[in-house]
Amino acid sequence: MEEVALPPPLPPEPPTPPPVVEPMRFTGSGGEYFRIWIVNLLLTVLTLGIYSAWAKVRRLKYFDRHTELAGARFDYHGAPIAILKGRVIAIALLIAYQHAFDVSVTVGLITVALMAIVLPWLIRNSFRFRLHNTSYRGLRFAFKGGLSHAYYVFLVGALGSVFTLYAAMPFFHQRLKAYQHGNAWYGATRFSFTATPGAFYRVYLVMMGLMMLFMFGMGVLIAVGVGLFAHPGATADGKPSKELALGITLGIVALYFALILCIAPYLTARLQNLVWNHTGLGPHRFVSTLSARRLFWIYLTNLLGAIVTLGLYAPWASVRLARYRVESVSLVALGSLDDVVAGAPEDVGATGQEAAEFFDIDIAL
Amino acid sequence: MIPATYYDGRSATRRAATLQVDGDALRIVLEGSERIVPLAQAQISERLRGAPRTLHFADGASCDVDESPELDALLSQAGHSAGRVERWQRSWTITLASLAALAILATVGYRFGLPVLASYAADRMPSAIAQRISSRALASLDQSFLKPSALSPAHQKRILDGFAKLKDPEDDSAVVIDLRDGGELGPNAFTLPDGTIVLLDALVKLADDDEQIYAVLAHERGHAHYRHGLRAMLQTSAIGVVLYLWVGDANTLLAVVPTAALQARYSRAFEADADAYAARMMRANGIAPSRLAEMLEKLEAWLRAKHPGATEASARAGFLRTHPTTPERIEALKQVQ
Repeated sequence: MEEVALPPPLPPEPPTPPPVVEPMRFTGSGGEYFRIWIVNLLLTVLTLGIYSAWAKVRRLKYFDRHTELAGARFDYHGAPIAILKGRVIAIALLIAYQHAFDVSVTVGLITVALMAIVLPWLIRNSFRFRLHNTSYRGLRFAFKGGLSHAYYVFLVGALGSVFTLYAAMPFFHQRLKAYQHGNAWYGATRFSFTATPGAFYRVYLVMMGLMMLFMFGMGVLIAVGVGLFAHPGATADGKPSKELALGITLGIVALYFALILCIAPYLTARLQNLVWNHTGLGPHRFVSTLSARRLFWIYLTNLLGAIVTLGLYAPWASVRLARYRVESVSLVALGSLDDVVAGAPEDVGATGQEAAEFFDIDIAL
Repeated sequence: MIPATYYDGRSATRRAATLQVDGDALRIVLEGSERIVPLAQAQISERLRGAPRTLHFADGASCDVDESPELDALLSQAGHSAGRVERWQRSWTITLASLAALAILATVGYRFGLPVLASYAADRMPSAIAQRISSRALASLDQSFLKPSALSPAHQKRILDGFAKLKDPEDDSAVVIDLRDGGELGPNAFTLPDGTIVLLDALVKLADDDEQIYAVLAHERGHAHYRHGLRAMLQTSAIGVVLYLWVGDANTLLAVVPTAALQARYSRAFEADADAYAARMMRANGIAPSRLAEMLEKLEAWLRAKHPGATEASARAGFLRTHPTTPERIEALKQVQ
């Protein structure tokens, strides 16, 4: 009789430890950042921009090293020379892009086609450079998104959004975040991303509603204004007063600014919450509780502060915003973070990140 | 004995450690084990208020250490001293001096540097680029504000030929004038970056005689000669970039209004230069520069009739004005005579 190898008995499930909420903390201060900022700025001007790469490393180090999670700090390790090279390439690309059509239509079209091929690759590299150079508890983060996936997300995504008159944009935004977060690693532990396209559509639909509300208000004011001026009999003395005209114009302008001031905090808050509430790291997950109203207040007062101080308030504004955004995120740790081990080392350049920033592609969040 | 948190760089495990200096070596004492690293190999992060400092070792391991006099002693023993930029960033005196230096650089750059640079660049810009910008601008104006001129061909020819006969002692480049009906734009004339002058019908009708029109065209020739169009474009974009770098973080809108205000000062200087150029050109042709002054007064009167209170508002706008006030310009034209 043949002996049948029985599978070894399963070890008993270890008892699941209760989850521990670890809030993130930001310990930077405006006064300290002001001094870093102003020295960075002066050196950048005196070196005709070359120092800007070193300035960027100092800025990111400042914000990362002041970000604390579970008693440990983040850190940034980007090499200024790599960033400088990236910036030079990015500027060359930008100049080529802006002036290609001045040479001829053919050259312009070829340049646009080349950009379409190069940019997804650059953006993927930018994700890699940023994460690879960020560390926590002595371990590096990493980004392992594939190149073909990048073409789908950035090229198909951009074209798909435009050709559907942005109806497909929330869908592709979800694909982008899934690509960015789902391929991020901390050491050898992978991040996960579970937000659905439907959730992105809800955020964007509310934003549309908000915009329409403001547009409606502006429309009413414009209609009232046009009506009064077209039918002077509508007012008591037969002609609309100058004050009334001024009031209506100011009302329209105020609504326009209010719209701009409201949309940004609404989108930032809802998207940060949506993205981080659906991001996990191994067994751990994140919670983000950013409030659009608080964020609106911070944006508004930062703007007023910058106006009153002719821009000098900027470093305090950056620190305030960073503090609020960082401190509304917590890690819900299921077990110890100690168990994470390092991933395989890799070598990545900075070209992508710089190019993405020069083309104003917002890859934050 | 300095307390520290040790990370080996291979896992996220945090281990309590103490640091000790042993001659040239740094001894890291962990629970149950010990590491010895040459002191000179340890890299220390810059000092930040309220954050621990990190010692990095060559193999990827690191130690977080809180600030303390003992740590400072250890660092000085290792021969470490803060870098220059790190020391500057810590000093309020140096940072405030940096701020003052930036303010001085900005003022000097705005008053002297940028006008010189923009003029240098405008002189060297390939004429093909200026032509392309200009033809695009005119094409888009033709689609929006401008219609073909309603003046009779004979009337148009009389003005163009009459002006072409005048000597331009300072500039022998070809004179290109396009006549258009500007509708709502009123009596006006402007110069495109490549030197093409656009003259609107309403200005022709407002003038008492052709010499007043020539005066305006001579003023526009001044703009063309000095390449004011290109220079203004270059200056505006440079100011825009600098302001964006300064306050763009806070809000993009914040960079727009100051750009207009700062450009206005350059624009007033351009108008004064073009007036002086016109006066010299007119004198070379035996026309009194006061003809330009007459035209300016007529334009001002037209504006006042169309927008009552507008001149008052424009006087109040002060720093936002793109032109010197008409009395200032007329006074300056008298000085030329």
